[in-house]
Amino acid sequence: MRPATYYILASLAGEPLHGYAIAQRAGELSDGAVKITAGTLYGALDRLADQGLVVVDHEEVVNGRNRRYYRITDDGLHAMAEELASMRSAVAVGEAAIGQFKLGTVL
Amino acid sequence: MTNRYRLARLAYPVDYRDAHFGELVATANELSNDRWSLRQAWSLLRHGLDSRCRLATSGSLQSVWRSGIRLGLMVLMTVNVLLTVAVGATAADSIVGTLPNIIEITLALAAVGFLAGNMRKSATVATALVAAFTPLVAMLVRPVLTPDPAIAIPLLAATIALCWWATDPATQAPSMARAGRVLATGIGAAVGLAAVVWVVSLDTDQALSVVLSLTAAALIAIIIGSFFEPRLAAAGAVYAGLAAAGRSTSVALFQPSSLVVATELLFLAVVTCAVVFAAVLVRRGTTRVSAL
Repeated sequence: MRPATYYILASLAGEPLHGYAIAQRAGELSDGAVKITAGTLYGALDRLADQGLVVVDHEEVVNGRNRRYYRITDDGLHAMAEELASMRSAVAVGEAAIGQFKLGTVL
Repeated sequence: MTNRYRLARLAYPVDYRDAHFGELVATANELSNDRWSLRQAWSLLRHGLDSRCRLATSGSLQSVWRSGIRLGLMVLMTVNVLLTVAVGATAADSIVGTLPNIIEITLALAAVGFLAGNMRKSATVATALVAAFTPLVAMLVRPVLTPDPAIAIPLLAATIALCWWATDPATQAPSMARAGRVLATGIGAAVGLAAVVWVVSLDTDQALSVVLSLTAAALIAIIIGSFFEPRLAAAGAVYAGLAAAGRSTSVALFQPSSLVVATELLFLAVVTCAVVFAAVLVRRGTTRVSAL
């Protein structure tokens, strides 16, 4: 899962959000590391919707334009949990490798 | 406000564009503090092309077939454009058996890569664009294909006008009646222009060159049309087919080896469609697994 996709899912964990709010929340959650453009955002949302990981919760009309609010699904939460487990595993491997390196340096 | 991203708008499938493009542009404007942004424009352009591929490879098997054939036709026509340029620039004998193979393989791979939507997508799109615009540049700057600009330029303009007419953004789905009108117009325009070329070009070499120019112009239209509007592509296909037939006839009169070229083009049509259709099926089968 790409970082942008992960943060998009994470930003939806609290409440349904529209596109701009998702991009803003993803930026805040990643401390500015993830800067999502409109094309990237809606491309990811389209794919996530195809997979059933997010759905359109409702639509509002703002300044004459439709604004879709997205909501994460149970499958989406499950996909996030799997990604989190994978990242935890990667972190454990990294910490073990760095720990061995430091031990070798001291000895 | 959508005018700021006019070019990116064209990249989207019509239905998706009508339903969501306003929302996308509003989001792009909010993310760039209501200023035009090259980064946002590029992302919208990429998303538009991605949506086109995604929607082309979803839906019923019938729609996948249609997309496969249409995209296969696009690749074939790209090959034909390059062949046309090559024939115009060199003797037909020198390209038979060498150049077509290289171009065929390159563009077939480009089509597969484009449909697969993988990391090489940008490169394959660039390849296709270069292939599409090479003949346009050649027509404008190289005298080989345009012995008489007074003839070639109006022909190009007529091609563009035909395709513009065939595109009707207000119509959501092409109807059979409209398709019939498009085909009739394409046939009429091609026959009429071919007749004009034949009459005004008393010199056989010039006639051949002008027919080549006509073919190139029509093929440019179909390549661009294949990206943006199926109906435009249909008009261009008829136009290009007749122009190509005229080219083959012309070349056959003067160059015996042209029969080999014509046969090879037919073979390429079948092979390319098969390759592209296979790519569509592969894309279909892997979408749900690898989308993330």
